[in-house]
Amino acid sequence: MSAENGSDVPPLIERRRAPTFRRFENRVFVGLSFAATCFAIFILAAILFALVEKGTVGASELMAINIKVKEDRISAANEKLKEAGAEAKASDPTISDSIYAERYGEITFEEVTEAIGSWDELDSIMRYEGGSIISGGAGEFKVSGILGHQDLKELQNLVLRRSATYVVTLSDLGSVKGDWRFRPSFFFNRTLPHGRTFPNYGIGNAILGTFIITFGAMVMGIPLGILGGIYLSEYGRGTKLANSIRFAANVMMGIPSIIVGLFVYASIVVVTGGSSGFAGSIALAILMFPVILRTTEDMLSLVPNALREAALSTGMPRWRVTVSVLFRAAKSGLITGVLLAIARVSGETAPLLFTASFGRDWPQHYFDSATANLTVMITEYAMNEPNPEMGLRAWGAALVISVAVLSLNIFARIAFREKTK
Amino acid sequence: MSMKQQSRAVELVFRYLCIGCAVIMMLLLAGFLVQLFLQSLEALSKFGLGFLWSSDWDQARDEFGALPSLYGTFVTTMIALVVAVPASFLIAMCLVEVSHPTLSRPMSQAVDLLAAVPSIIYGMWGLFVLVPIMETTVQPFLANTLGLSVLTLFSEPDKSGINLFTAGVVLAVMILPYMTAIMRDTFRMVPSVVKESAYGSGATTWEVTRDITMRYGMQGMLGAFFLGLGRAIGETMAVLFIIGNVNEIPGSLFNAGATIASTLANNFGEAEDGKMLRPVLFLLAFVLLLVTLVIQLLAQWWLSHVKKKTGGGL
Repeated sequence: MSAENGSDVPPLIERRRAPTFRRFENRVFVGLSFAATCFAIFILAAILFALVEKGTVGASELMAINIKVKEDRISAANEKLKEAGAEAKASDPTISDSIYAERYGEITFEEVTEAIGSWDELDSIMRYEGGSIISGGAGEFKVSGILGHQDLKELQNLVLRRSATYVVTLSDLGSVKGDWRFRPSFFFNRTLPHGRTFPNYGIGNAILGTFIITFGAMVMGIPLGILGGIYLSEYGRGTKLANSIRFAANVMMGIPSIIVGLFVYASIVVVTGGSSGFAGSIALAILMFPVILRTTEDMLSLVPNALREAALSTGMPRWRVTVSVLFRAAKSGLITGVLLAIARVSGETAPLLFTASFGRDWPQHYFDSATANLTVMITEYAMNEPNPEMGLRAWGAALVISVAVLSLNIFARIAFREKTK
Repeated sequence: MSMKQQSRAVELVFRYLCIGCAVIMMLLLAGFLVQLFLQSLEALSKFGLGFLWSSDWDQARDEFGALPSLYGTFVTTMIALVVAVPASFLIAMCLVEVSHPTLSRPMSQAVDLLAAVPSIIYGMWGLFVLVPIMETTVQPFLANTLGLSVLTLFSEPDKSGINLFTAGVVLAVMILPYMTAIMRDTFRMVPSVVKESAYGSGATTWEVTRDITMRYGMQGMLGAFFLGLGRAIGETMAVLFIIGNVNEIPGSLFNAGATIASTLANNFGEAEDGKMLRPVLFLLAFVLLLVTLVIQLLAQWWLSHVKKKTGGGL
């Protein structure tokens, strides 16, 4: 240990630095460390907040839009118009009075309610059949029908007077609020292209596909990893083969997941002739394998040798000792490790991009067709679709996968901690 | 077959099953190297080693080079490490030395949770939340208020927030919890006798951290560094969302770029059979695999070197 060498440890007490400076330095670094920790927690909170805020909107449906025109907002808008009008007159004094009045003239309450009440103004936005606008009197309106998320934004930005140089929008004149309803069918219906025209769709097939692919990976990855871990810890401890396998596992844990995807593509997808959920499972299993192998080895090595020797001395064969004594002793650690590995791979995207790919149908052919899954769906929706509503749907799916992964992670940790107490 | 023979047979089968499963690990690693090499052979024979320093990327002319994505990988990884190494050191110090145990446990659980967030969530959050903030606040602040725009690297702050710099920052957030976890665990293993005697001789918290904890935990810090490095180099999804995926070498960090991993994810979908693009992408993947391999080897060698030097202390 370096501290025992003595000579290269600087003598703490004899340091010739002013105590005030040392105190100041200490305060700075302690403060910095506290600030950094708070900042990391703040980022976690920000991510969770964004997930919940946008995810809940993405998982619910816009049932109606409520518009309420307010008198005081109109007078504020008139002030704004007056300012803009004065500016326009200053830059272009030749502006004719009639155009000026049309563009910057005062807006009245009646004018606004009439414009909203006449369906024509809104018709270009409310382009769906079956949409209707109900007037509740006194400047209150309710737009109902088959609404997409974007209608809200477009309505808010609606300019009532066409020529009014976009100074005053509907949201300046009153409140435009969406009436969101959480819709359980989001979890059970399948994905459809271009959500705007099919509001009643969900992510059911992607959820099911993620389950199937992860389950397939578990079936392949867990036994492989556990058996391999038993070899490293029980049979091959200290041998050259075991050391090189351990090294290979360490290297494999560091391999970028996209490379695993490409490897499986070249080895499985090309051979079977197309992407499939099975190929996706293999990719995830390859990611799980080294993690579970190393966890199993570590957990089994933690079991005291006395227990091992006592069991062996009863004449039990080695495999019995491992399965019924060592596993029981290392149970909670093993389960935690396996659960954490599952949580990690079920949120993976890169290995699935080209192996499981993405399908819009229900996963029916696990072995020979692209299988829908949440993470690739999120990628598709968030990146490749220009429709902002797709982005919101992606947030809904992101909320689902995050809740699943994080709760599995927390569950694994809590279950483990209770066992060790 | 007698009972004894039967049980011996079972034991033998179990033993070879275990060995078989473990050997699959080595076969897999070898398979990765062989498969990626074979797949990229066509590109390797066409471009040779010049592929590494050519900056062409033209699908129409079938001219490809790895330099833009190598540059992007290097730059984003550097940004991530420059931000995350001191930050994770400070956080580990806070969790182990500074804060009270009742406070430090939930805090370290929160940091652990940051590591559990799937990378695609970081991508979405970066794209929809962080990119606008970078664009409107951070970039102008760095370039104009701090006056860094005199450097070419920080010029053009009015570019879109989808750029190398934002990608580096998101990578930093992603590797931070992993590095913090390792540093925290090694810092905790420092014998309390040594720490307490330092405190007893009048050392401040910072002096104990710098002179005792850091020296004892050097190995863990190096391990954390290499883990963060490996993760940052290979991260795909978050970078894919944020970096803009342009195969050019921009002068400024506030320009779109590409990393090896993002190039793979972005282009592989269109790399049909028979196109030159496919072996080129496999060659890029092979390069990335070799880079991570070298980092791993370096890390293992360095760790054992440090272990020897410090007499296997921690």
